Amino acid sequence: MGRWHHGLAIAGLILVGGCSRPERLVVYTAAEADQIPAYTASFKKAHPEIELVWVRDSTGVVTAKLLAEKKAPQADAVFALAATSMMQLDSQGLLGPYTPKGAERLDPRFRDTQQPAHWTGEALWSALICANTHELSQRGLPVPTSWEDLTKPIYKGMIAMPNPASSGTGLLAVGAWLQMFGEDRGWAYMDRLNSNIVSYDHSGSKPCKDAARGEVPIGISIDYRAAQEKGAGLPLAVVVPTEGVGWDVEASGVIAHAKHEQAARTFVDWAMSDDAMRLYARNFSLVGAPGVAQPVPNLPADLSTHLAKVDLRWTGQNRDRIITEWTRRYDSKSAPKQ
Amino acid sequence: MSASALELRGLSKRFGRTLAVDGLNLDVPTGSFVCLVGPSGCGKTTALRLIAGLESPSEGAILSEGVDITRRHPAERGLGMVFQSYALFPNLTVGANVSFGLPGAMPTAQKQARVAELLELVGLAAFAQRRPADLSGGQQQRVALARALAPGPRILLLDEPLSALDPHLRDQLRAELKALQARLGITTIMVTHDQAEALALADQIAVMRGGRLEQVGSPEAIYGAPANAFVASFIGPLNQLPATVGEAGQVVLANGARIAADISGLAKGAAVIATIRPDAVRIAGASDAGALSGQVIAREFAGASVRLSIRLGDEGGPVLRLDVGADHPRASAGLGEVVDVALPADQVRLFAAEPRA
Amino acid sequence: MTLPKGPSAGLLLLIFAVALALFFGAPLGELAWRSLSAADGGLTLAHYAEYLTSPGLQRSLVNTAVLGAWVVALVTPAAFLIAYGLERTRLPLKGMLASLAAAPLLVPSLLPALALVYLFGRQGLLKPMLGGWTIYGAPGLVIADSIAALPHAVVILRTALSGADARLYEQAKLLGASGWKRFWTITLPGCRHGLVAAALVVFALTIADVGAPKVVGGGFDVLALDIYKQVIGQQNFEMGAVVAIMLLLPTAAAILFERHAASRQAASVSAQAKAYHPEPDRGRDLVVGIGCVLIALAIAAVMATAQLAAVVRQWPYDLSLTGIHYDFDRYDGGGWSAITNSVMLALVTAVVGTVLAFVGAYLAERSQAGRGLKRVYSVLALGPAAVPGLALGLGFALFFNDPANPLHLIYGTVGILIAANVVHFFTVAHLTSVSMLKSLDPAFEPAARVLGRGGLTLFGRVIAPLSAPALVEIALYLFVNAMTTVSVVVFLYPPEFKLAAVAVLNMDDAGDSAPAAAMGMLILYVNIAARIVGGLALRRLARRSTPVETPDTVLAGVAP
Repeated sequence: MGRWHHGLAIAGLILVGGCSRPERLVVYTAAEADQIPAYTASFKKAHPEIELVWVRDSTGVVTAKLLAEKKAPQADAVFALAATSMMQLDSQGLLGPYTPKGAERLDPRFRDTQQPAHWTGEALWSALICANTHELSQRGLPVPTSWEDLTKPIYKGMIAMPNPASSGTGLLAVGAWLQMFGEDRGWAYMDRLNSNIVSYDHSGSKPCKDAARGEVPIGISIDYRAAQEKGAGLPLAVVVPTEGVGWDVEASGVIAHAKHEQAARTFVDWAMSDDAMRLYARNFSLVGAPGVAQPVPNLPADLSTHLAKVDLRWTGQNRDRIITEWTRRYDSKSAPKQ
Repeated sequence: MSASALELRGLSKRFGRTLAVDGLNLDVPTGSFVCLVGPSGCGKTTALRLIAGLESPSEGAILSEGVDITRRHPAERGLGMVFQSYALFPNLTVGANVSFGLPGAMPTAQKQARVAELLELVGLAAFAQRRPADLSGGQQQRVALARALAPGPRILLLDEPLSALDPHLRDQLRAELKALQARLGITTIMVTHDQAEALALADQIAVMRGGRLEQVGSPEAIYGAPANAFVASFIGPLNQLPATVGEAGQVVLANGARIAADISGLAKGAAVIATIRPDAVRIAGASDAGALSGQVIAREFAGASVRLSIRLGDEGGPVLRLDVGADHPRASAGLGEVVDVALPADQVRLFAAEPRA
Repeated sequence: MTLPKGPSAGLLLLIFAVALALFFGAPLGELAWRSLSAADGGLTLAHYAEYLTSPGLQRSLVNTAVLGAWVVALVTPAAFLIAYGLERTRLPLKGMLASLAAAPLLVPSLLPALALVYLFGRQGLLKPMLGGWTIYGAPGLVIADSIAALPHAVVILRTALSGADARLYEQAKLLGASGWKRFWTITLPGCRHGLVAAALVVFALTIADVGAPKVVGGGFDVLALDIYKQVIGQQNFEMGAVVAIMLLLPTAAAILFERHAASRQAASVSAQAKAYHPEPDRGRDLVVGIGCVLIALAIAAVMATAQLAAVVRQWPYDLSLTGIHYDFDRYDGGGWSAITNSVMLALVTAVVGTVLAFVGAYLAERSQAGRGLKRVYSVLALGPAAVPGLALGLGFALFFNDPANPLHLIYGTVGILIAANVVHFFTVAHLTSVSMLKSLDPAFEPAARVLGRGGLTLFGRVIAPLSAPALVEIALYLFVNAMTTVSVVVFLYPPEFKLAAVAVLNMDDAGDSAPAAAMGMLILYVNIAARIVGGLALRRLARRSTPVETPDTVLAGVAP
């Protein structure tokens, strides 16, 4: 009986300890998991008094989660979420007005048009093609060089891309196709592409990881991941398609009526600081602050000149419509017959 | 005269729509050994549980030495109880089992002394540190007894305490139980379905059927002067012969044979059951008038005696069982042989014929 | 002096029943309610209409049924073969066979699926064996779920086969029936209820699984995956609730039917049955042995592959060994804290669940509480086994996330995870407690009452110590399941308290399958360690006291 009591007491302690929550700043983010430790360390150094709690998921999930929690927001701030998503959140009144320190120095593409700003961008990322050279050469296939190449029957069953409903990378790719090719031709393109696709993945990184280990030879994926995998010595060609690449901006903002509003503002200030920008520059070829960007190893040097003419606002405003149509067309497709 | 150790007044217990105990009235004198007997389902165990306070009666009252204890908690009735399974706690030692019911406030040394005393009493002084599983069935039964006696009850309740034992062990423990009860002088109520056990142990036997008391009395009275055919047949082996009341102190059996019996108070022609115990039937001698004869149809050897089954009259006639001393010349009668028997009139009891259950 | 114990036991049992109603009935009610509630607060079937008319649904429904049927068809005979090998042959190394057959219980269902990708994926070790086929879609799903469901079926069929009455076989032999005829006329009919129960449990487990469809599903969508996508991907709780209800109905039907079959199986075992000891038969042992070895090897290969994948630098190009995939902070899923969190959660779940289930079962079986209340509690306690984890988890999320709910404060805490786990696995813990308590002499309580000792003294000094082996079994069951479950916690875990099994899912989602395999194997090792500790405890208990039969057969029960 004595031991029983002892066990119960321990269980009670654990319960109490687990249930009580210290004051903390909750930041929702779609930043890549392997980037986060560096950001945490930098912020902690600058603001040791604030305990940072990350809630990380893919763009679509973070966006949907924030929308779902509209009535009782759990987040204080948003970090590195696609600008298109930020626009949608803002249209629902989820973002509070706050122009972070030094915002005026940033590239205009990275800034909200409202004054004060509801969101502010820190870096730009794009969707390009990861191709496994080893797998392709084994099959005697050329490395694709354009989006159009991907629809060739020779690549049937060899391509993966992110699902735009959950992945920001997927959405920016689809948004770019619709804007570059026009809506009708854009959907027609995706219909053709669909017949070559093996899987629509949850995350924007997975297609490139799968391409890198040859599981699916070609992946439409986030540029950062392409650089990482190639840097790891994998047989990967990082292809910037000739038609141009779609892009989006990773942005941050303060949640309206956040529980820890002051800390959230401090955080966004940090996110736009030069220190933080230097961290982004390791991962992205284009960052908001001028003079910080540097070539990212394993990414094509000319990537920034191949950015497609894309109006993020259009994608943001049409986000729901695009995803609904895309889901109707492709989400419930059956496994491709082999 | 002092009040009874226990008195049941109109005690009834209803489970849903069935009446398990039906208006029980019973007086248990202090220091006596009372057996509740009856076939399974007769309500005897329920009656015991009512006395113990494990069930609460639907009607009636239970008095102990004149005090109403009907609503008292089991532990406050001054009883000890031994269960059919003994309900010994297998993870506790014999000593811990015996001390289980001792008051928590009792000093340890006093508890140990009491446990030692009781184990001495039941002859298991050396077994205090053993666990029940290490003991034989008889020893377990005695531990259960010691445990029940430990808090010093005034009344001991025994629920089929011997039924889980081997037959030969049962006889031995029966004697020990009786001796122990006599030595302690503790009022004891025992439930059993075994009439031989009741006859051997009890001062008073209460025979139950269908929730009701059929007869209460000493073993001799119950055996020798049963109140009805049920009690008579339950308490020992019995021949039951359907008959009608004839003339001149005789009844007529189904096959027309006549036997002498006390028919006082019975109308001629009334349907009765003539009963006689097999050990009361004699082999007829030459001098016996009115002997019946029958053919041996079965023969069972039982050591000191032989039980013969004989058919009176033709095929379909009534069958009579009789016990013959093994040394009697006719004890060796084989199947088909004809045997003459005499039914002493004072051993024949007539009961009104009743629908058979 | 002594208080009458009736009312207090009744009150306690009432509290237990209310707690179950609150933590099981209410979330399910909320789930059903939300599936029917319109945006304006009224009742509507619009969500059902929307889902039923979506083109994907029919496919999901058919796929789910097809998947379930295939897995049942594959697992039932395989499990029977293993159970037969263990119970009715003289095969050597039975302990090893039993351990391997039980191994999939100790890992999340994602792990076999992950391993299959490494074995038969496009870069799989054994891909050439498949010709042009790939593992993605139905084939991989069927195999992965078969591996995950196999141990459950084995446990049920072992119970069914171990109840054999040797007298029947002796009689048949005397009558001259051949071994083959004895198999068909005695063995198979003797365990038909067990076969039905096993098939139903396998079906229920399979259709409720979300792990394998996520990993190898390809485009083969099933209901469980639809729920996950609706809730996680689109945060569409109403639609998630609709699909959860659609998944709940067949699962509940299967489990209720299984309970029925299981009780028939139990009833068919005669109390006088004579234990069956298989006589030597080389031919039988050879045939059964080959089958068992093949299945055991398949399971061992799957586990070994997962471990290999976890320590190889870059499958398949760089097979040098590395520990880099154990640097979990580099990936989604919460890093190393996920595994310590999971261990802590599993420990608390085991302790809390064991205590609650056992005390509840004691009150319902042996206390003086009212009969009606006892029956209500017993029925409530059987419920959780019939509810898929995803449906329960979603119900919890919906019910406790409502700020108007006074219990809202546990939302987003570890408390809700403990509650969800305890409820999800409650039925098996309850049934195991019940059969343990039934094996104890019913006269203990009356004896203690007459001796003037309260129920608490008896419980503490006699009932609990005697039940210790069953308590250990229950705790072990709860621990292992809390370590491996994804479905019941995936909608509930707070951001700062990531869990290992969910981490496997998230890492695979992000394409990090090597760390996912590493984490999955860590869960296996933790569970093996727990089993060893539990086994040692059981051995100590067995040595210490009189052996009381542990009713481990009830552990065959299921919580999909």
